[in-house]
Amino acid sequence: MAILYNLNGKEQSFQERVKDCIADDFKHKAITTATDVFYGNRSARVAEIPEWEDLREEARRIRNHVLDNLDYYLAQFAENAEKAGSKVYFAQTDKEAVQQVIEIFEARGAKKMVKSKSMMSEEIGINHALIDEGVEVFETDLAEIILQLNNWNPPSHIVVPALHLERNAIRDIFHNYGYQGDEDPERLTKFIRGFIREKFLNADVGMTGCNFGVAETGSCTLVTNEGNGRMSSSVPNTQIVLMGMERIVPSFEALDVLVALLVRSSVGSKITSYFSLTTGPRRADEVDGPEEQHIIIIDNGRSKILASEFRDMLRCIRCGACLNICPVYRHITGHGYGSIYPGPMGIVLTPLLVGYDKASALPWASTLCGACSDHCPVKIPLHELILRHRQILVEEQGYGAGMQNLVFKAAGVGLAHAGLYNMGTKVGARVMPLLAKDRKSLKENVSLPVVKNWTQSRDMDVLAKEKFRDWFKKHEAEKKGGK
Amino acid sequence: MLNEQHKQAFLHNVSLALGRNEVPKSVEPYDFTKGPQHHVMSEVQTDDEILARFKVECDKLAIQYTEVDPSGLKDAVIKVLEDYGGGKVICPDVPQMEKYGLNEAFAELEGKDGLHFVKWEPARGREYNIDNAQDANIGITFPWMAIAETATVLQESVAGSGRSVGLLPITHVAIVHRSTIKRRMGDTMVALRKQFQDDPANFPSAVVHISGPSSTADIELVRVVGVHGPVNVTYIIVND
Repeated sequence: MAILYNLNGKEQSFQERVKDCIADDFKHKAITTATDVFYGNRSARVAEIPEWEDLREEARRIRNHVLDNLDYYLAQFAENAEKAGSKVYFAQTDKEAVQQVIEIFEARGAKKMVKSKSMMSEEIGINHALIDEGVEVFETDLAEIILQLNNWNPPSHIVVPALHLERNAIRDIFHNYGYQGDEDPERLTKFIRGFIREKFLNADVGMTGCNFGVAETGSCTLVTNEGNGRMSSSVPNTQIVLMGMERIVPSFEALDVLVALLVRSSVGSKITSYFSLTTGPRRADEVDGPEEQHIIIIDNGRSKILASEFRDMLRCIRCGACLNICPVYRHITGHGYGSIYPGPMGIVLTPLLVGYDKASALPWASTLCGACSDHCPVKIPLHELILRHRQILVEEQGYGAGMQNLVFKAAGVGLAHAGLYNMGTKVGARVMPLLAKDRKSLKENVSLPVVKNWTQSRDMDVLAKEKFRDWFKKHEAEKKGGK
Repeated sequence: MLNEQHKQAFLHNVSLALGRNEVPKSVEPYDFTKGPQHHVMSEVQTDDEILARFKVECDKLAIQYTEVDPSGLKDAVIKVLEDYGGGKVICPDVPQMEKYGLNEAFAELEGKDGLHFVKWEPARGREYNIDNAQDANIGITFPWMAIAETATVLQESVAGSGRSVGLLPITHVAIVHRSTIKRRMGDTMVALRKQFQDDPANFPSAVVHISGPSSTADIELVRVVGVHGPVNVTYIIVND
């Protein structure tokens, strides 16, 4: 998979994809429930720390300090990782990164890989590149193995990727791989424990992402609950770490602030079951852990973002809080975006990584309410950056011309002309209830041009019979009369 | 050398993005001594308060613990092994095993009630040790430090105590020294940093923060423990 994907192999427009996602009741409900749970837990954790807002500001400063000196810290990280015995590579593009991974496999004669969760691995499409090379690839995060066994279904959330699948569907998927039990999540999980344990023990390579790379020590860190990251970096004889170039922190001390914010914002816990720091491969006198640790540092468009007015986006620590609070994400679900990076962070990041021509619809999938910015643990002004994308699309990229201009022109005439406006709203108040099935709001597929596109993904309340201005006049008169 | 060229080109590109032509020789270090993190949990200061908080957080994460004096450790360990079903137990080859009389006690118990003890033995190679940890019911470790705020233990890997010991068995028994429990991660990070600066060559290849059993909520957000790592984690706190 690369950054953009199609569902079920269907080439779809943004509107078509959203329509499919909204029609999928389970997916819709699962995401709504999950975002409620995550948000509720996060709020409880935040309430426990009076210093929360100060910590966000501190995290913003730490991340900015790193970005402003990223060349220095990357050089320092590489130097120290090499001192610790790791092999460090730099890849400007996804293709270079994939090529580097393949070369490591060839040099090691490796044929089997286990992989723990890494958005970077999705971004560069490493799984399919390795499968094409004849490597046996296994995801090990429970959600990701479910997606893999379900014919490499795309992730719908950056933290809980298989949220859109219900337990019955998961049971049916596992039945194809020898599972004979029912849909109980505990039994389903136990089956995977056995299934994947065997893959861990036989794998040549363990691939992991990297939440933060520590410049002063050359350490890589991983935050996980399941222990698959710990397994991938303990059992196989070779470890490959994929790291986005902006993942750097100056020293161990920065991890205190960033991990505290990341875990609370992400899953609403104080801490995850595991947080690993690895520094180099295993030492000469150790017998487990990787004999070789390869770290591939990847740019893939990030240096362009660094040089642009979107630099703030590189502060992102991939917690998913902006997804969980977003009213649009909640409604159209992760798959609605068609990008491995969904939600507000995805709307900002995706066009920067793939270009406006391939992601021009995304910046409009936002209400600009600003909840994402308010909840971002590193204070990225997400909704402002989304608005900036819209401005660029309209002013520089030629989007929004044509039909939209006509509509706005027509609206301009109507709104500017008191007589027309009065007539329009009066007629609307009578006609809209006829179109609305429940007489209250226009829902999906109202066959009215312009409004149809709107109501596909939102309900539009019918106009009240009595206009506010009329009501207000009457109200004023009544008040005077009452005196 | 191709790799060195890649590195230089890559870094140069980043420098250009930052509006400069080369990587600076040094930067003003970030001051981590003044941040708001130092005010978090300021109500917990004394050793007793730290221990009390550690136990409260263990309860929240459903981590079982017992507290013993050094002289009672041996019996406490044996009881915990029984509580968690005995069977095959993998032990580290570290000085504490001798210090607390555990080597002797385990030798006496070997074979009784189905108990079988194996040691992590680097001399016998990778496969032998991983296989032993893989089918053990219980793994015993002595963490380096612990964190009160999150009921966390920090387990470093060393020759005599591999990464697999606390990871592959069904139950992980961690023997925590009370004197090593710190208030917050900020305190353990300062200690890790100092350790690295004092002796970078001997800094452990892996330091894992462990806070409860392996868990997942990936299927309909239902929490299930024991996905890849241990199903149970239990602490024995030694009042040293």
